[in-house]
Amino acid sequence: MTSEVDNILKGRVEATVEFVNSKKVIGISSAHLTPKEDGVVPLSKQGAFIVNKEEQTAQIETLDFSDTPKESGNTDSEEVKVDAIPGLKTPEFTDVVVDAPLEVTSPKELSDFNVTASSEVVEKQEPQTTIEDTIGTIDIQMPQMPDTIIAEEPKEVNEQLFEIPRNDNPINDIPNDSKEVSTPDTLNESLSNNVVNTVEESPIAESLDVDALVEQKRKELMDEIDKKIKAYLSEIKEIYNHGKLNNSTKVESNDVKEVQTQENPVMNDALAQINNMVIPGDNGLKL
Amino acid sequence: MNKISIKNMDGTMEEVDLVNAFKIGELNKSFVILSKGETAGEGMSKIYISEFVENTPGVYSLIGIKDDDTWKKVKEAMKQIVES
Repeated sequence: MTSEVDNILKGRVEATVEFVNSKKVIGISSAHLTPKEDGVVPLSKQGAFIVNKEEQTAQIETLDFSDTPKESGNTDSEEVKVDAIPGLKTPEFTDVVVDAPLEVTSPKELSDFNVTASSEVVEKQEPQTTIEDTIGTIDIQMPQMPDTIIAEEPKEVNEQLFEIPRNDNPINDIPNDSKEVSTPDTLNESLSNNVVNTVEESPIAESLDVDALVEQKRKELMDEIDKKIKAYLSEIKEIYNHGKLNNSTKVESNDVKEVQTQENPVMNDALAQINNMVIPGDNGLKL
Repeated sequence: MNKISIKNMDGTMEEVDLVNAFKIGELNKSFVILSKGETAGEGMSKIYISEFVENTPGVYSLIGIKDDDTWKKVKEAMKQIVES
């Protein structure tokens, strides 16, 4: 190559021991070292290392690509499978199976029977698939609007639709001690015989002051307790007076079982009974 | 024809004709054809063929050809050069 020649020419060349021992020395025809008319020594030709474009093109054309698949380079292709689309009419193909071979004879005259034979040309017609067959015919009938206007669309809001029906007839005949509750006339239409419910309230219910009742009960009970306490105190005084005389006396009564002069148990028992007293008729309300 | 100077083993410089230098890609080796203008009788001329390597930049060493297969390929290359 030219570059190798240039490298040698530009560089420095030195012999080695290996070159002395293993160099190849041959004799060639002097014609290979003798310049020709063009001045180029045959053995020094560089054309062997230069690719001729014409030769390269000719070599490419002579290459056999029969073993190479034509579509081998299309590696990204994928097979697309399309299923039948519902609603579309699929084409129908008719397979014609001919069991016996068809014999087509040319017409000829049968002189003996004076009959003219006829032959029919049988043509196998392939089903033609058109776009209409594939798509199918779907008749879609759109409804037609009438030309005449039946009614105009209301532009304003119908307020009557949002009004609650009122009973304008006043109820005059209401007794003092009872209240009549009646449904509106519009609702009574669904009831039979126009039933009117009457609710009578008790006089006590008119005064639903619970606090006053409790206070009243409390006063009554306090009065009773006061009376009982006074009675107990009088009994205790008598016992004390009697105990002073006898130094120690055991007294039995309806409410006091044992009385000791130092601890005053009668008083404690009385107070316990007072605390456990229940107001009658008031759901067990304790004081 | 180009001339180059070869430094011999004894240190002397010898001027020779550089007939050709080429590289065989299959072997990845470079070869040189030299001529000292010596005749081999009956219209024949003597040439020297050797492989050369670049040990240091710009300095090429001639190392000969030891392998027979390599020598065959070199002879084939020389034929192609002559026939080209």
